[in-house]
Amino acid sequence: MAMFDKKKNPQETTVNVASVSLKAPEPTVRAEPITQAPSNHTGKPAVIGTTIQVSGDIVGGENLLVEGHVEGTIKLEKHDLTIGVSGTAHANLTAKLVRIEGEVVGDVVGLERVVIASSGRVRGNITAPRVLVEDGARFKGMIDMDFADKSADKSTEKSHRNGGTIEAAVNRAAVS
Amino acid sequence: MNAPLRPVVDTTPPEAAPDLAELLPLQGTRETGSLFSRWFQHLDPERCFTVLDLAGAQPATMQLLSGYRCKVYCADLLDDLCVPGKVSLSDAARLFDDRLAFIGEGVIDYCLLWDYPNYLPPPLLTVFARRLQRFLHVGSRMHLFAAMHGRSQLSPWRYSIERADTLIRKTVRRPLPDYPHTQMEVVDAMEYVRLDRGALRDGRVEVLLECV
Repeated sequence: MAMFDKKKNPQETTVNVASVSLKAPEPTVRAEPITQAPSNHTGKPAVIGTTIQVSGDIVGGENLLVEGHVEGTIKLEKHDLTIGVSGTAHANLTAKLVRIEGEVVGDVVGLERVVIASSGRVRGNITAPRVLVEDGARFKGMIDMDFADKSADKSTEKSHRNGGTIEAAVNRAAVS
Repeated sequence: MNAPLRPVVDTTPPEAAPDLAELLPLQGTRETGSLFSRWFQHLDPERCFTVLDLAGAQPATMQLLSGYRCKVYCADLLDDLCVPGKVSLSDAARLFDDRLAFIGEGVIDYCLLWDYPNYLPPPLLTVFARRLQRFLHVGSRMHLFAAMHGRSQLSPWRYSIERADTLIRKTVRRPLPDYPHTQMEVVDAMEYVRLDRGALRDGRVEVLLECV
């Protein structure tokens, strides 16, 4: 996957894509990185609509609602990400608050919180200090809520019990 | 032995942090006197622990565990039950391995098995117990329901933990647990554990096991 290293206005949203396509008609259209001005001056999130498919890396400086299909990564460290009811993400997701109403296959990092709504279906690992699951949600995987930034000596813990900070969790997710 | 459990239908809103209560209207029948109070009494808030919950990620359980440093492995194995008579024991072992593979290299401190053993005939329960063993360590604890006797009719309920002394149960659209095992049958099948504590529930015996 091509990577682009451009200095950007932190308020801009960059969609670092390998491809963007509409579900119909085919075929997939290859695209250069898309940089757009923030659209959330009114508080509304940027939207990936139901017919949009994105393959690649999305980095943003505003809230994002995905109602289409995303493969790759989405990283909105200071903003909120919602995978809408019709949205699917086969991707690793990082955001301040992640709300999942659709389908996610991949690892999810919520720097503050992850919410799996009643319509949500998630398969993967979730890392967040707080995870909320609504009745009816489906999840298979591991939820890591070991976010406590403790001063206690962790050296006596077993090797499989990796204490960690939020930054450590993000780094782990980035590595994976 | 704890006193018999007393079913309670609770219509009052559950205790929760204000921001959570709005998101999570916890519904179901509440039952008090769970054995979990013994677990939570001894939890060290400074130490991370691991949980395997075979009820999947249930709202109440996740809300409760959010207050602790922990890693929770969730799966609802009843979604794809082994069909007795249609799989060999070796195939069953592979199926269990496949369904537990998401744990990876994880080591489990607490297993919430709930009613799952009562969906497995004795030979498959033994196979499951052996396949689960590789994720456990000495001192790992398991919670499950056994039947008061072999003729007990167990309703298809799904459980979650609201508080250390309170479970929530909800009826789910599922087959009945057709293979109700008594405490002793469970202990025989899970030969690497010893019975730690049991308590009576209507038709069910709540069982806490510890790996030795």
